[in-house]
Amino acid sequence: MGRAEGFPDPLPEGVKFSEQVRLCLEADLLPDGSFGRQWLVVAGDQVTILREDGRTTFPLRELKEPKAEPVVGGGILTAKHNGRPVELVHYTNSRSGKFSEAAKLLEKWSRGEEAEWEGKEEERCPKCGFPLEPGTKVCPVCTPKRRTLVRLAGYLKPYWPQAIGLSLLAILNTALGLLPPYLNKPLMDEVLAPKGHVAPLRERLKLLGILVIILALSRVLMAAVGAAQGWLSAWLGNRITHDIRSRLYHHLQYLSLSFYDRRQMGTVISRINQDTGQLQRFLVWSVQDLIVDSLLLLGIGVVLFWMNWKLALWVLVPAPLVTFVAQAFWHKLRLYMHRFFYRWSRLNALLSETLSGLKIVRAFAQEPREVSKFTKRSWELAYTGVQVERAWALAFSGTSLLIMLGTILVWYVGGRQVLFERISLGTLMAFLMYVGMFYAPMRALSWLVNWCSRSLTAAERVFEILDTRPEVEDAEDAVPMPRIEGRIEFRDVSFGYEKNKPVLKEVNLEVRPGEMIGLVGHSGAGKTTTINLICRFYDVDSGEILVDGVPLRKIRLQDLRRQIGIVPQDTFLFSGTIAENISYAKPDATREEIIRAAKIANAHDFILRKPDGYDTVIGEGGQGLSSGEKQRIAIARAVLHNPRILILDEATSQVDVETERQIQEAIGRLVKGRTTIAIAHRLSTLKNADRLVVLKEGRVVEVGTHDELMEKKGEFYRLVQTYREVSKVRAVER
Amino acid sequence: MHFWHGGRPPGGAPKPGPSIPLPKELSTEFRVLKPEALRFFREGGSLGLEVDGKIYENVKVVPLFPLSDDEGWISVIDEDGREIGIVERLRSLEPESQRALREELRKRYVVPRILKVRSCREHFGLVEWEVETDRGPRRFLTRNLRETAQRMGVRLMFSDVDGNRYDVPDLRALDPKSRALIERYS
Repeated sequence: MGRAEGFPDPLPEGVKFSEQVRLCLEADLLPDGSFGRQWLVVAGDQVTILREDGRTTFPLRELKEPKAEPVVGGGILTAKHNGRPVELVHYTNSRSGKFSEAAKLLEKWSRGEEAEWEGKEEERCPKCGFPLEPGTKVCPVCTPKRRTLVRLAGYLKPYWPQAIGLSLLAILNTALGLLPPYLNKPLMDEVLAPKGHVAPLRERLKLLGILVIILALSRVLMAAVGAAQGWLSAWLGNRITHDIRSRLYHHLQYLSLSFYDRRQMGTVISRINQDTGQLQRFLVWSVQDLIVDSLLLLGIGVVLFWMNWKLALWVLVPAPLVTFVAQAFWHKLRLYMHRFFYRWSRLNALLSETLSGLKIVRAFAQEPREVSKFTKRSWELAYTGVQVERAWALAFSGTSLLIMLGTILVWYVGGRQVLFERISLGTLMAFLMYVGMFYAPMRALSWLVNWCSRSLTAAERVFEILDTRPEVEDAEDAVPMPRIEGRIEFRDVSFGYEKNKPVLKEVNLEVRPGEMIGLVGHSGAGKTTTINLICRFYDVDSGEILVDGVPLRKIRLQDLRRQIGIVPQDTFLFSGTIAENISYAKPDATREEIIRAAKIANAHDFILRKPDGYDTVIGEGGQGLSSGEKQRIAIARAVLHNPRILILDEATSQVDVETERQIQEAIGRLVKGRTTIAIAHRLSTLKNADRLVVLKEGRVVEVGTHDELMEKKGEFYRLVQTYREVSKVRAVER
Repeated sequence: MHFWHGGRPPGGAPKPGPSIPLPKELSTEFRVLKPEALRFFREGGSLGLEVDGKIYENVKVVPLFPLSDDEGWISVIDEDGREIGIVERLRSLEPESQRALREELRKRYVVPRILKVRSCREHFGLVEWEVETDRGPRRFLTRNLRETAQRMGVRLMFSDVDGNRYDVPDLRALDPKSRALIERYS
């Protein structure tokens, strides 16, 4: 293949190597930490660091333990040369993926192994340069706005009769709006100040009556059409936003957890709230204004030129100025508005934070500080609010002034024409009224265009989520599994939340149906990750997990998860009654079932002592319950769920000895007849387990019964020793 | 299905910190290294430290308050991940040591400071920046700053599409044009 001249990066110009270049990577930092270009080149058996001002060369075989060492903001490719550490190249995060790949390659090559550059061709959007997620071709950033508009219009489809009605109403409204000024002309020229031939007074009175009635009728009609239009457009806009919002929420429920790992919960929530909110304002108000204003502008323009094109040209004189000023103010306004919203949300954040931390504030006597913090932010908000209003006022008066300028010009030029009797007074009056109506939509439009582009950005953000495919998806040939026996197998499973950092490494494990396995190991050893993989919250990077001999990827997700039950370490309860929480996985459970489940979980006795028994409402996050009580409700929930595979993340939380015993008892009943995987922290649980699996740094290091492992005096033995020492200290402290 | 907590903290993908192994024994003693008793030196690709006549090779340094005080509070860690001690003030070291330490810090903590914004163009929803930093000129792409920027009082920090962070320690200290450009996109 044509890789000879450097791969994956091209060699700098004019540089040649006599031997074949196997690898060339460009780095973006210099040895002193400034930005600059360096190249790592492997040609033949030589590793060369190429700089603009020279090169350093090492024989490949002499570089030991090449490593891509991460630092804050980037990394350093290091190796040992003659037993001394050397720094080969420095780079920022932009290149760290490639260099960690290179480090692996260097290591294989230095050991004399055959290997090839496997780093994925870094996929970037050819248009805007945004790094694309692997496997996607659609750039989330630069999908053209036009497409977004088309998609938005797609949501209009089910409501097309209403949409057409709305457009008709808008056209009608515009046409009606054009009528009253036009009536000015006959009113002046025929009735009030006729020139030349003067009709008798009675005729003129009659005409006056007719004109006034037409005027009144047109106004009434306009009001009616306007009201209908407003109502219909609000109906349509809200409907469409509702559709989009529901789709979004539905989609969020099915997105894989890694989607949430990469984002802050706050921004996800704001997409549902703010972006759809902005979309709603756009669809309800802006679209309507946009249509009406454009129609008005067009209609009035045509009428003006039709009435007197010379005078009409004068009208256009301030038009560019109005647009220009409106645009200029828009930038300022936008800045202030952002600041305003930002400060608004900051104030809110502070409020919710201090109110929920009220106890701490009191305990440390920091009330005055919190008060002054709040006052300061509130003042900042007020100040920005004033800035926003000032900018608005200035923009409004500025454009109004310019508009008046146009009107004044028309007064002068048109007035002269009336005096020279080139046009009638009526024409001038009608003309002036049209001019007054002409500038308002122009001003509005220049703002609306900006407003629309911002709303489209909101729409894009919403669509971006809708376009994110759930990473964990049912395979097309997924098989139904109505009843799982409970055999679980791990075959060479490796997995990392970030691709370069494996958390589990080549894990092999076999769990028999009905067996209870205790997962043991230091924190960070991969216990929770193992569980996440069994639930298929994430898909493995390599290897396979099988349930009853069927690969996890081939099992219908619904079937899998319906038969897995979890008792998590930090119990999450929804706001609602105790009964609702217990029956969360089985909403149609009978009262008897709920009570039986609570009894098995040792929860019944405390529940009946609550004021409303099973109907006691627990707040968000389960306020009003002790952690031991919450835990037992979670156990009851799992009991009622009646899963084939049970997953326990045992709480070490601060429950007293008696509660601990009750929870243990409950768990003991729960695990009977089910395959159980328990993350065990307490020795007491470990004794119940059929086998223990000891994890260390992502690998299974020991498997066996409690007694076997104690005899072996290996990793588990050490863990137990540490545990005993710690509990001795605790016992003394108590 | 219940929401599963665990594995890793909620929120955005964590930025990798310095890779330093945790020692068996955690440090409990607060030890400030006396400037007169220590000497940093460079040796090949690594930093060495001599303190009270004892020599440590291949030490790692970590700024403890990189944002609020970049002139002091540097933790010095030996090869096994144990903290040897803390350097309280960079300036109190003798020039040779100071230079070696500053050089190492600059390599280990790569967060460029923006001194000037040359240009700033928005296209296809991304903003392309051309800036002058304390590490030289740089060109990078960001998404809308409002979603990625972190404001801490007068300080603004933001990340580009590759996850590199950029620091504006004091927005008010920038020239008006740079400031206007940043404010327009944030």
